[in-house]
Amino acid sequence: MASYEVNGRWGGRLTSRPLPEHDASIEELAAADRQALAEIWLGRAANERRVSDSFAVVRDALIATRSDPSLIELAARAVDDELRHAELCRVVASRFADRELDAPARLTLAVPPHRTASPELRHTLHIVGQSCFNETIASAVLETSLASAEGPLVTAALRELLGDEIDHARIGWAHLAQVRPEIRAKLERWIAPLARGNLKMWRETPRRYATNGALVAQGALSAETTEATLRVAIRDLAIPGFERLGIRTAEVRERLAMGAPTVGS
Amino acid sequence: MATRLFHTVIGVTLSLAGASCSAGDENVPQQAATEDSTATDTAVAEDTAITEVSTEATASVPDSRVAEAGDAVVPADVFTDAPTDADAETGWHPTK
Repeated sequence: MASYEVNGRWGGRLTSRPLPEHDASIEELAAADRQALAEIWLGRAANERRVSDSFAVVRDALIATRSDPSLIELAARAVDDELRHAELCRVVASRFADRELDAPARLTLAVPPHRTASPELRHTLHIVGQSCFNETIASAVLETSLASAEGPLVTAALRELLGDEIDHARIGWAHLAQVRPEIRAKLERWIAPLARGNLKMWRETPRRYATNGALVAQGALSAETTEATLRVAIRDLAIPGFERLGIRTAEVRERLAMGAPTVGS
Repeated sequence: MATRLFHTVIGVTLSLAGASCSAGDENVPQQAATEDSTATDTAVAEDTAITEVSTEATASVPDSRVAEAGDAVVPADVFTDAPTDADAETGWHPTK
């Protein structure tokens, strides 16, 4: 696994604050639950590592569109943040496994092609798709996880993750506030497809869900709660955000009212 | 909960960016979201302060594991800026 930078957000440290060294709630878990949580957190590590690659694309898109330098710097930092997240999740997984786990196999990143978009618009679509949608959804998922988390270790870990994901989401919203009016106008037609594409990926990416309260208390979410959180994120975060920027979202709202289908045409 | 998160992620950001609430307004100052270290609602997460940006941050370059699916060799005359069903089939890989 690629290591995070010594000159990254926390000066080479994995987290802003040390993680709890002892967590009695982990010792009290059934063996099967510990195994499940190790798998869940290691799966997160793999996803976080891939998102580091996503932010390299976002960083380059911000450069290509001559976005504000501070946003470019923040996106560059996000590349490193996600490497820390991957390691943080691996560390948490190892605590559940009660042994040091190897980093998971690196996942391949497929960049959304957006073939019919002009190159300039495509850059903004990549920024909006990853930051305004994906990281905003991630923030909602983490907040929901945090609300039910009880274990000291996972609570600390989730707070670390959420603090960064909020920054990562803000990259997209701040960029969108700066784009040329023509690009913003063209973007409007893409909001529904972007929402659909990201929801589809969240729904279809293989992951293990919480199946009991013990797992939820350790930061995992059930399939039902995850789905509900995805819809809340679109309804209460993304849609109002775009509308605040004057970008109409009627089609997204219509689709959401129908359950935001992501299968079929 | 969502209201608080909206304020933290989007509301504060757009305010700091001086975002216009109507499309077509070009009066948008070059101001980034990262300049107010007190902006984040601490109720969202105790540690979610928007801190300074590390100007030393370096980024790893995507390697061969990054698939540039369809980004190349598209004739210019197909740039209709109109989304298709195919565009709705792919999104970014989830973080979690």
